[in-house]
Amino acid sequence: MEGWDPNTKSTLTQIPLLTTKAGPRDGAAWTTRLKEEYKSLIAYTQMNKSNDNDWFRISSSNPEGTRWTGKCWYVYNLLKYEFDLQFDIPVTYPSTAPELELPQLDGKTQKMYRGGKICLTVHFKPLWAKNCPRFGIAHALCLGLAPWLAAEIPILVDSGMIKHKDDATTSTES
Amino acid sequence: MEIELNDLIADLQSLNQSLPDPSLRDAFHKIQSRVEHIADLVRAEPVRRSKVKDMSAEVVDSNPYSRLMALQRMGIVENYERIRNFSIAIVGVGGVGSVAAEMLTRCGIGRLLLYDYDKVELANMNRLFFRPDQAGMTKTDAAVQTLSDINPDVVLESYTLNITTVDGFETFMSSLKNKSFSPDKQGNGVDLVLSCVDNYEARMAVNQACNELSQTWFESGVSEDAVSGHIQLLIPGETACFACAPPLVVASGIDERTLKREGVCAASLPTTMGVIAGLLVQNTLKFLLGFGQVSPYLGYNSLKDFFPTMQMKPNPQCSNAACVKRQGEYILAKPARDAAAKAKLEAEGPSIEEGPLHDDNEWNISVLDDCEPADGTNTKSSDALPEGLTHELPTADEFQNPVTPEAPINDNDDLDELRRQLEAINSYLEENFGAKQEDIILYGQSVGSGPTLDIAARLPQLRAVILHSPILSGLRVMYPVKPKSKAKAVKAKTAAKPKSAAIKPKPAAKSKAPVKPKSKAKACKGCKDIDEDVTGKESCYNSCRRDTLSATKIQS
Repeated sequence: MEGWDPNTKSTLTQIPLLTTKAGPRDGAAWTTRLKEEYKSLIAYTQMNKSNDNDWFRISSSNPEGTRWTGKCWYVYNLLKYEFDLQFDIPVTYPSTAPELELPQLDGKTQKMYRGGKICLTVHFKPLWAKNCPRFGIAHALCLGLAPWLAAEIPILVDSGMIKHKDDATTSTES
Repeated sequence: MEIELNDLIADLQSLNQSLPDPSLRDAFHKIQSRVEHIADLVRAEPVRRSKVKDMSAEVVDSNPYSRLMALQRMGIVENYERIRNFSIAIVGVGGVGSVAAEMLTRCGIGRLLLYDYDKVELANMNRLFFRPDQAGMTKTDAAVQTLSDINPDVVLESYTLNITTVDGFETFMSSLKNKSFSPDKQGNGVDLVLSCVDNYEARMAVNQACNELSQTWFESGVSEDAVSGHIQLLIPGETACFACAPPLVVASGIDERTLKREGVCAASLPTTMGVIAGLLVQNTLKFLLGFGQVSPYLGYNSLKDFFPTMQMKPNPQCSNAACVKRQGEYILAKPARDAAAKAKLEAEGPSIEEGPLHDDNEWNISVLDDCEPADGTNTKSSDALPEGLTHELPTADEFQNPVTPEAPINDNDDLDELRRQLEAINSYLEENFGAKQEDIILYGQSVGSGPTLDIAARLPQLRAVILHSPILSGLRVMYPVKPKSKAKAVKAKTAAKPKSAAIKPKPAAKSKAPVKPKSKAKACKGCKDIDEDVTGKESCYNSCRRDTLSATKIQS
């Protein structure tokens, strides 16, 4: 965890850790795990809101809790950039981390695998592996997606790869 | 095309006969022979060979299997034709998988199952097998196209799916179990699974499936710097599974998980991939047809042309539950295995005299088999520590009882309740007061009209939106406005709309110019330049406004 800023570190310590090691094929144990996931997500979202740092919405799009969809956003130069966020819970979860996808950015950055899967390999996967099964979706967002957005969005905006939605509409209108 | 050409040749011949001038004959013959040459080329166009019922060892040019059947004559393989009964699943049809598939197809394998979800790209052309004209096709489709041309005898099944997703994994498992190809086969429907994927998640998924199905498989991989690779045989319960010890940790000291996948910045070479595919298929053939020795692990370091081999025992503390279960079964089956091995040994060679190797044993040396797990008493004695010392870590033998979670899991929470809570954080009124969206009227005053409009845009069923002097106080903060002129500008604006009507935020500032410059003040340059579209044409908030204010002051 060296090299992480103290802010992220203190946030991380406040996200409840998970205990059940179960994947989507483990029946009742998965339901228990899913409950833990929800609890840590609720705690994390509440923490973000109370710190005025709300930056994502995520919810399970199927009753089994294996596919998750939502939004995430990043504010840069006082403008808010919002993206669709989606991921599947892999069958080998929690041994392997979920692969977070931002489909709207597919093909716009090198730090991404095909289909808009953000590159978590260096900065996040080792942490996940060391903390299996205590890390969950909330941790993946906090340590995986948040630093990625902070690193990538400014570059993408400055290079003109992504435009703020207001600019995009005016340019298409004119 | 061939018919047209034949017609053309016939026309030319009839024309030739009726040609009046013999001096043109030579030129005419030239044209005729050219057309015939083209016709020959067309006839030589690839014709798909018909299926072969039995593999023949006959040495003729037209027999696709003569060189393979020769393996029998050379005494390498006992019965090569058995290869037609085998099914192989290849997971990942990329740089290694596609080449392995081609090799097996050319060897006349019975059935190939191909799994991939990717498409062929021009960036793949530094590797073998795929052609540029296949760019855009799914890798499975492109592979089937090529492979069925090469050898129509092979039964090809392709699955375009991602095996790490729940649905994909179920399809993967059921396709491995499906025994329609050879119904009387024992175990699963496939004989071997070859993992040729490029990422940790997919390897773990193959590992999970094979551990659960007790299916032997080969893992293969090429390093991201494209100069080394490995293959590994995994027999659930007998050898280490992929979760017992990820191979690259051993091979290079790099944690497998820190490797980048293709598409981000990994390098690749057709040579290394070809070598690994060759090693993989060679060991596959040895495994299936029962010749030579199958390598349990074979590394390839191309920089030094070094090929390390080793053997890995399963990890009794493996995190994969199915692996531990298979290990238990393997230990239970030990007596039967020993008996079989003994019977085989006896059948092979006439009993060898098992007399003592040396007549005298002055130092009482005895040889112990280090493959066998040592007796409890032995381990105790060797592990015994001098008084006052303790082991810091628990020994592997004491692992048996799994750690019970410290805090009892609170099972009272309902899953739906939790999901509702997560949603509720973002919809306070609906969740905490049971208010329906249709009954909610949003009210936004001044700067508050911004968030009001934002919420309104998210709630399609909203009853109404009230904007009270939108944005005005924001302007007031920036530029102090006198009550006199303010009264003119402030106007409560209501926008009651029917259900589901999308609310279009109106630019609030457009409604009224907060301040009109008095006649005495000159319009400044900024009036025209900046504020034309915001406040109409009459004033701006720059120096012009300051003039106005001073003018008003003087007046009052």
